[in-house]
Order: sequence, then C-alpha cells, then structure tokens
Amino acid sequence: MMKTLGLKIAVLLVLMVPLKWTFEESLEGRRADLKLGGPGLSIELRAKLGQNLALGLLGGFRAFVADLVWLKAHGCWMERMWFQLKERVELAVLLQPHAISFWDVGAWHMAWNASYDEGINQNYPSQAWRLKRRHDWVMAGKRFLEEGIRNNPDHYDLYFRLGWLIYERLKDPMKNPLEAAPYFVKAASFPDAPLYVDRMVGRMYVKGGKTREAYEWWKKLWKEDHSKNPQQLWDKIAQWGHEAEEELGIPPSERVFPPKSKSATIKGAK
Amino acid sequence: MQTHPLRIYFSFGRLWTIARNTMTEIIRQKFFYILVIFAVVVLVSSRYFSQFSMQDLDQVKFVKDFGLAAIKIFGTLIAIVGAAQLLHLELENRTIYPILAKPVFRGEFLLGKYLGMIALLLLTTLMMSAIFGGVLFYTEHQLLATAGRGEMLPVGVGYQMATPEVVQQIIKQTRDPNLLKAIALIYFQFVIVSSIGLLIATFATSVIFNVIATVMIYLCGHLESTARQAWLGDPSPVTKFMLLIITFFVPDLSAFDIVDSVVLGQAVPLNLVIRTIGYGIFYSAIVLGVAWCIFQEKEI
Amino acid sequence: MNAIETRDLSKYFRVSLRRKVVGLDRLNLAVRPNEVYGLLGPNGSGKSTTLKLILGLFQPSEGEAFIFGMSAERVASRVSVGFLPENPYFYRYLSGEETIRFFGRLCGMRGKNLEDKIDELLALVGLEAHRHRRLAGYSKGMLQRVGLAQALVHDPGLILLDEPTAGVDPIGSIEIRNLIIKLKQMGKTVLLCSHLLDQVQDICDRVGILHYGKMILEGEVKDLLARKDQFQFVSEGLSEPARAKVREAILKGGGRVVMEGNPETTLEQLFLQSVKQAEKTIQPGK
Repeated sequence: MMKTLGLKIAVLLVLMVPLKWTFEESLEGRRADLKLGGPGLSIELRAKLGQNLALGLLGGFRAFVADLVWLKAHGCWMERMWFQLKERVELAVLLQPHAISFWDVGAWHMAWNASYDEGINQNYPSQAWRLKRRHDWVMAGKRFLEEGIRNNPDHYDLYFRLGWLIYERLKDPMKNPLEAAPYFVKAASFPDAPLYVDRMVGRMYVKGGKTREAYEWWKKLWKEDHSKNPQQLWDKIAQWGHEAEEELGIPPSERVFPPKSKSATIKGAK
Repeated sequence: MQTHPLRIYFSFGRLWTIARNTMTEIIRQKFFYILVIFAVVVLVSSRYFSQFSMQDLDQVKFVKDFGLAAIKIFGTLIAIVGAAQLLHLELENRTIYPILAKPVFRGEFLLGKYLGMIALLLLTTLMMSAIFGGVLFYTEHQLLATAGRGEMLPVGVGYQMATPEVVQQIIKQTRDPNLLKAIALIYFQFVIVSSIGLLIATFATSVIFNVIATVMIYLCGHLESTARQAWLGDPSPVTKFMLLIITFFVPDLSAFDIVDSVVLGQAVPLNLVIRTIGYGIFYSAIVLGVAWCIFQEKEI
Repeated sequence: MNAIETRDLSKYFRVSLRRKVVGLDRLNLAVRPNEVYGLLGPNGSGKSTTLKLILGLFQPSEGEAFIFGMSAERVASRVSVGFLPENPYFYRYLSGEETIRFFGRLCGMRGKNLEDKIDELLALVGLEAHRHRRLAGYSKGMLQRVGLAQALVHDPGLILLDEPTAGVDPIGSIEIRNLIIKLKQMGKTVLLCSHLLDQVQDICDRVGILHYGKMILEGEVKDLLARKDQFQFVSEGLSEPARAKVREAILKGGGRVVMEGNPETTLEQLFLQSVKQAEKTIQPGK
C-alpha cells in the first residue's frame, strides 16, 4: 500500500517539477523584462533592514516595508539626522526603485533640507566648511535624482525635480537656468505632465537670458486647449508672453498674446 | 429500499454540500472572526498612518500599501490556520466517519473541504477589499475637498494649485482599476497557502506543526527564485541538495510580488497577471493531487 | 446473496518496524438478508475494525469484504449501507433537521423527496419537537436518535450500529431496541456491535463473538443460550401441598429439582414499571 502511494506521489512530482521550473523561469523572465519588483533578500539587505523588516520582506510585504523605512526617514528629518536619513532614503529606493515619490522627496531632503541645515551649522569650524558641506549635500541630491531617472526614465517628476535642483540649488544666475532647462523640457514632453512643468521651461529661458527661446515656447504652449487648466495660469503665461513680445519688439500685427491683463493672485503661491 | 448501483460518479452536488458546510464550520470558529475584526480595524486605521507622508499623493500610496498588506496578512493567517484545522477537527471530533460511510469519494470530501475554505477566503477578501475601497474613497474625498476649497495641495515638495491635472492624478491613483489585479494576485496566494496547509493536514497529526510548517514554506516561497538560480550555479553537494528541496516543493511566491508594482502604477500587463494566476492554480492542483494520494490510503 | 460476506478478512496494525498487532484474523462472516446480527466481544476484540473494513475506512491486509455482493472497497457499495458510529459526533452548530438534510444531500437526495424523508425520520426517532434545536443542546440519547435518522436517510438495505445503546438510559435503550425490531420488519438487515449483552440478547437473531481478532463462537441466539439438559416451568397460584406433588412427580420421572423459588423480574423491567406508574401520578416540574 505504501509502495503504491509512494509511486503515485513520485510520478506526480516527476511530472510536476520540470513544468514548475519552466513556468517559474518564464514568469521570472517576463518580470525582469518589464523591470518589475525589486532585489531579493540578500545578506547585505537583511543587515540593513534588521530582523523584523527582513521578515516582512520575506513575507512578501515589500511595499509596506519600504513605507516603514520611509517613516523612519521622516523621523530622521524631524531630528535633523541627515546621514541616517540618507541611509534610509537609499534603502527605501533599493526596496522600491520605481516609487517616484521616494526619489523626489529624498532628493529634496538632501539638496534642500540637509544642505540648508549644514550650511548654517555652527558646529563646523568655518564658513568655508559650511559652504562645502552645503554643496556636498546638493550634489548628493543631484546624483540621487540622476540615479532615480536611470531607474525611471519614463516619469516627468524626476526630470522636473532635477531641473529645479539645478536652477535653485546650484546658484549660478546665468548658467543654472540654462542647465536646468533641458530637464524641464524633458519633463514637459510627457503627456501627463501638469501645466506648471511647461511654464518652468519658459521661465528658465527667460532667467538664462534666452528671451527668443522663451517666447517660442510660450507661443507653442498658448496653442493648447485652455479649458483644461484654470484661467489664472493662462493669464500668467499671457503676461510673460506679452513681456517677451515687448522685449523682442514683435510688431503688433504679429503678436499672439493679449495686452497685460489683471492676473488673479494664486492663493498661497510663492 | 436502496440497493447499490453498479457504479457511482463524481458529484458536484456532494462537493457543494461539503464545501458549504465547511464554510459554515470555519465562520463559527473564534480564530476566524477575531482575525476578521482585527483586519477591519487595521484597514480603517490605515488613514491615520498615512499622515506621516509629505505629499498628499503619497498618502494614497501609504493607504494602498498598508491596506493591501493588511488584506494579505490577515487573509494568509486565516488560510494557514483554517487549512491546518480542516481535517484535524473532522478526525478529532469523529465527524468524518458518518460522512465517509456514505457514498462519498474521499477525493470529493477533500476537494469539498478545500473549496469551502477558498470560497470563504474569497468572500473575506471581497469584504476586506470593499472596506479598503471605502478608505481609499474617503482619502480621495478629503484630498478633493481640499482642492475644491481652492487650497493648495502639498504636491511634490512645494505647494501647488490643485490644477485639473493634479486632481486627475489623485483620482487616477485612488480609482486605479489595476488594484483589482493586485487583489486577485493576493487571493491566489491564499489559494496556494491553503493547498499546502491541506496537504500537510493529510499526514500531520498536530495543528501547531501544520501551522509552523506552512509558515516556513510560505517564507521560503519568497526565496524560491533565488534558490533556483543558486542551484543552477555550482554549490556544494549538501547545499545543492537543500536548494533542490526548496525548488522542488516550494512555490515561487515572489511571482506574486508584482502586487507592489501594480500599486506604483507600473505597467503590469493583464497577460502576466493571468499567467501568474495560472501558475498558482497549477501549483495548487499538483499539491491537491499529492494530498489526494495520501488521503486515499489514510486509515481513518 | 448475503448482506455482508467476508472471506479471510484480516487486518494487521504496524506498531513498530518489526512488530505488528493483529486487529482481525481471517474473519469469515456471513450476515443473511433481513437478519439482526450481533457482533460481540470485549474491548479490543476487533468489532470496530470489522465495521471499518466493511465501510472501507480501513483497507484489509488480507482477504475481502462484500456488501450485497459488491466489494466493500468500492464507494458504490455504501449506497446500501447506513452507519451509526459509537458516540456519534455531528456538527454541533447544525440542528437535528439540518443534520439529516446534510447527510441526505450527501446521498444525492434533494427537494421534496428529501424534505418528506426528514419529516418521516424525525417522527420515527421521536425528535420532531427538537428538530430546530442545535445538536449542541441534545442529550446523549437524542444524539443517538439523530445518528440513527441520518443512517436511514437514504433508505439503505443494511444498517451498521456501533454500540447503539451505550450511555443511553433504559427508556431510550428500549426505544432504540424497538426501532431495530421495526427495521427488521421493514426488511432491512442490521449488524449490531455491542457489549451490553442482555440488550443484544432480546433483539438479535444470530450473534458472533470475537476475541483477539478471531471469531470464537457463532450461532442462533436461541440455540446458543438454551440449556438443553434442563427444562423449566413457571407456575402461578400453586399451594404448598401441590408444589410437593410436583417435586414428587419430578423425582419419580428420574429428574431432580435443580432450583425452586420465586422467579425474579429484571431491574430494567422494574425501572420501566415504576417510571410508567409515576408518569400517571406526578406532573413534571410541579
């Protein structure tokens, strides 16, 4: 009786195993092609996560574990523990390399919050030190965003953030806007990019002294469907476009933008 | 007076009778409704935890991750403990004797118990998903109310006007139909776990052993693909043997981790989801086949 | 065709790698149609093992068992078998009616046919008043009766009863015994396992006694119990002088008086008479 049972089970397993492996390899291959999921649990990752979070990862709760790591990063931000924050942010993106918000906000923490705080940190012996630390954190944020873009080349957010970082944090009045502009152009090229992304392109050209390029950009934007966005935003574009027409001396018959009109104050805008 | 026919055949009627009774049996057990109550509490409280995020769109990510994790953990616990008790209770309480004394195939009995278990898991998953949907809807409602008052939404790391695009993004994230793919994949993990628990129940006499063994296999399931790759490498004979055990028997549960990618809005083709579900059904069918072989020979 | 037939039916249980325990040793049993057969024996003699082999719950180590000519290992053979297990447990959350319905559905019964059968069986076993009550609230005797009802739901030709009166009070016991007699009158065959011998004595046509897995004695109850070397009269209204004449007649006839005195009723009969009497005079709960 046991012999027949053993035989039946053996036959089932002999039939199953090659099919099982083929199925699994095929699914895994497809997942790799689509770049889904994240790295499996390794000894290094286990050491970084700690026991409980590693168990969570092993239980298949990758996203939840990443969110818990993110909560820890948030805690580090509250305590201004910048190096620990960087570690946790990097761990979060290691777990979920396609979570755009982790890259976006993580870069913000480095290039804005950490760099500002280090830039005024009186524990450093001199102003030169403070400036260097400030610059290091901005560059750390930049490298982090570039890594994020390599992992997620098809999202506008990270291009937009990188453009903004170059413009605002790498303080070179003439050069930075033009260095930032290509990133804003790339961000604006995505169909789901909001209007404020498109507007930034023009502003960067203006700040970089490229009024003609800015004007061409505003004209291109003006041709889009106005009904999809609030009037205040179009009024602002009209104002900038008009200013550009004035500066470039465009003849009135060729002007596109209406004369300067009352633009509503956007509540809370900087 | 009935005399026996020459032959009787597999009956869906008997299968459904046993399945329905199994559902009733499990619902009345303490562990079940305690876990369900906990699941509801955790799901509803996911909104509270989401407040730690910076972006309001992130809140949606937190609510989704937390909610799906809650559905998964509680469903898995119900599957593990429920499956471990399926046969044990019948044997301990001797309720199996009058059933198998009737013209019921052992395979019908086993399959009926299993179907009852996974049918109940389906209802539980749907219920938890409905609550999860409610929490998501409430989150969306709060965000849109902020936008509707003309206030700025903390989108990104600055403040932005709640433009239609931003509002569309919120709605797209909260009303993402791909979440149904994620929930389907989670459910089929329960199907796999239940089949493993039932297999162990056919030869184990202790519920605790069954639960521990199923948990171990579940955890190993997330390492199975790593083990398979390592086996194809060149490890030592002892390691190779250990890896072989894992790759032979343990399901590749990392295939179901694409739930997280679905939540992130990554393009997960329906075709891949269906194939993954197909894998789950295939594996469960083999496991049930082995369970049937063992149960056929079991002396009750 | 016999209702049950076993041919050299044997079952061994492996207790260690080298040791086997004999559960049943070459049992050749033949239960005729429409008879009540008592399978007796002390605990561990092989009674339950025999039942489980007949029901296909065990596989025989050697030999075969047949139910109405079909191998007992085939599931189809159980269409003609109803089984009441020892200390039956059913799903406690089901009511009496739901329990019978559950088992009826397992036997392929549906709709009005099943509902009518449930009504009939509840009346037969006297549980109509408790049909909607959950089994968790049933007494031992009530559980036995529900067990009997589920065994009969599909109108089987053969009924197997494992200790049907164990733990049941004398009144319940009598009711179950009367039911068994009724089943015989309905044309059914009953195989009954018990170690309450005086109860078995009253209802069985034939008995078999098992010990250490072997059949040690088998035959008609009347024949087995009769003391062929003795004969008894029980008289009423005889005076002492008349009794003296009877003693003399016995001696003259070559016999001897083995025993004389007032015959005893049984404790069971006394119990039943007292209870019946009390029911006429005492109202319950007052």
